[in-house]
Amino acid sequence: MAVIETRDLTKVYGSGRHEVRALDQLNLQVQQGEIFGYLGPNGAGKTTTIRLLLDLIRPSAGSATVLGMDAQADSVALHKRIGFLPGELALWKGQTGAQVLRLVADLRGGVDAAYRRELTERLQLDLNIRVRNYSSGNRRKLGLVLALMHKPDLLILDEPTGGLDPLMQQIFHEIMFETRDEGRSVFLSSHLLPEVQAICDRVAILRQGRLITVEQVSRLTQVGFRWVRLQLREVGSLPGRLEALEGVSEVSVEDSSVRLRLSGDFDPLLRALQDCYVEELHVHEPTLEEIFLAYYGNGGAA
Amino acid sequence: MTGVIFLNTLRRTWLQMVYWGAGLGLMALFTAAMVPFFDSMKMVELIQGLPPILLAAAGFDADLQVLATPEGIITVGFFGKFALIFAAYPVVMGMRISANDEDDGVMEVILSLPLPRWQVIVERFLAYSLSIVGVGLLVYVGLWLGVALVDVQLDMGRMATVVFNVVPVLIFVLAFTALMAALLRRRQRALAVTTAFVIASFMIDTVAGIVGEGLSQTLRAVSFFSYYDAAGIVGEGLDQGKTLFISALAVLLALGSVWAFRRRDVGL
Repeated sequence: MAVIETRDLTKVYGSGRHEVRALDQLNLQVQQGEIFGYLGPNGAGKTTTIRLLLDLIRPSAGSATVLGMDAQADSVALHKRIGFLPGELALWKGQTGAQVLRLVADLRGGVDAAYRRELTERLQLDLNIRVRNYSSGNRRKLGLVLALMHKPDLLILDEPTGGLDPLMQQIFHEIMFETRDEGRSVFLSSHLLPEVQAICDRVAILRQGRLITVEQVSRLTQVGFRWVRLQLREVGSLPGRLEALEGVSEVSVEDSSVRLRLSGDFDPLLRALQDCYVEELHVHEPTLEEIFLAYYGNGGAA
Repeated sequence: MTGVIFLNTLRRTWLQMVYWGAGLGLMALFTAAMVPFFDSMKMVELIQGLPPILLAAAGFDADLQVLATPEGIITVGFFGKFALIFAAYPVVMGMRISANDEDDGVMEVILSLPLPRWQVIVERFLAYSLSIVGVGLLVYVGLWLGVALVDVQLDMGRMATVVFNVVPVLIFVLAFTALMAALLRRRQRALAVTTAFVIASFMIDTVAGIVGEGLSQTLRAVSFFSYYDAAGIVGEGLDQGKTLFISALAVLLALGSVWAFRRRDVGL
């Protein structure tokens, strides 16, 4: 079952010469029980999508259903079942963390105080400090508790780990896995590719308001290309021959080491190497960042 | 959950309410305490000698004989400018209904909770309206204390009408500010328009008071200041028609702010 489904969802700001198409005909499905990564650089339309899903802004065209309900018409009922962490979390600066939690719990109703306490302890958050005195990391932790404390069916998190130290990021990852294991879903917007790689099941890549691709994170790292590094006894004329091979590109030589980018099968490369003495052969899967750049570099095809 | 925003708003506002009430209440107290030191008849003579332009600018254009009473002295000394001084309060509070939180980004968090937008606006509007009544109450207490201090005979029922008749006018200003914030989105823009509106209203009321009868009196009705007539209440009693009219306008503007806030994008 899809917990998020958008159909040609479009948002245009301004008009005439000032028109900005922030999101263009987005068609997206997020399934129940998955951690879905939503990747893109600043201005790609990630936050616009989230605001549309939460009915903070209204679509120029298209529609979105969340948890089977219309994102606009049923927004109040939906918000009961959604936990949201905005990218730039602003809270009442004069209030302590405890006061903010109490207020939001009162507004939500039915928040499990024990679970709230457990989250606070796990994230090592001191609630007696005023919001204005929190570090960015602690403010983020408070935002996470606010988003998680009512055990929502769907978590919508915009850049959730910004400012968190590595230990807290690890705890955050654990909480996300627990959420998924309970059959709940996470929609996580991020530009931190290693984070998406570490916890997401699927990822969508967005560019200039357009959806570039949706892939399994595991497949995304496999389907693109690989980096191959060869340590040879003697390089000779190999680089020239390698550049002529199908699927081989970006060949670079340093002393007796050759680095190349390989798309497709290994066989043509191995045949080309049969006259060479290969001391070492290393294959690296590309990082998501490289895949990400590859998508952007040629307008969408890796 | 219903009422949580209302109570939270009150909790976060009560201190400002007390400051404003204490400040205005002290002014009322001192004015009342000064009453025995005035020679009413001499003051009437003195005022009668003033040019009408100065009288109107002082906000006093009713029967000057009213000045001969303690209620009249207090009205001239304090309530003539009460609405003008007090008008800053609903402007400040009106900005808090949506504009401040929207500019600060807090509205994004609030509206991600299971709350209809209208509820946020309505509960805050009601809480700030109640705080206006609270300030009025403290002003009345100040007046009462001043009267008790110097043992002046004052019609406290009538003075209560003078004090609390400002409430619908100020709730109108609150509603106007909320509407501007809902329509214009940005705090600075809404504040600029509302301030211009208050100043223009005051100028219209003052100029119309100076000019006297005719078209200017019709124009005066445009100014919300004309709906608070302290001297008129002391002299002739409460004009219920005016009070009802400004109250109805306040409700309409408040509903307008709810309508505008519900239909637009928030937090851009």
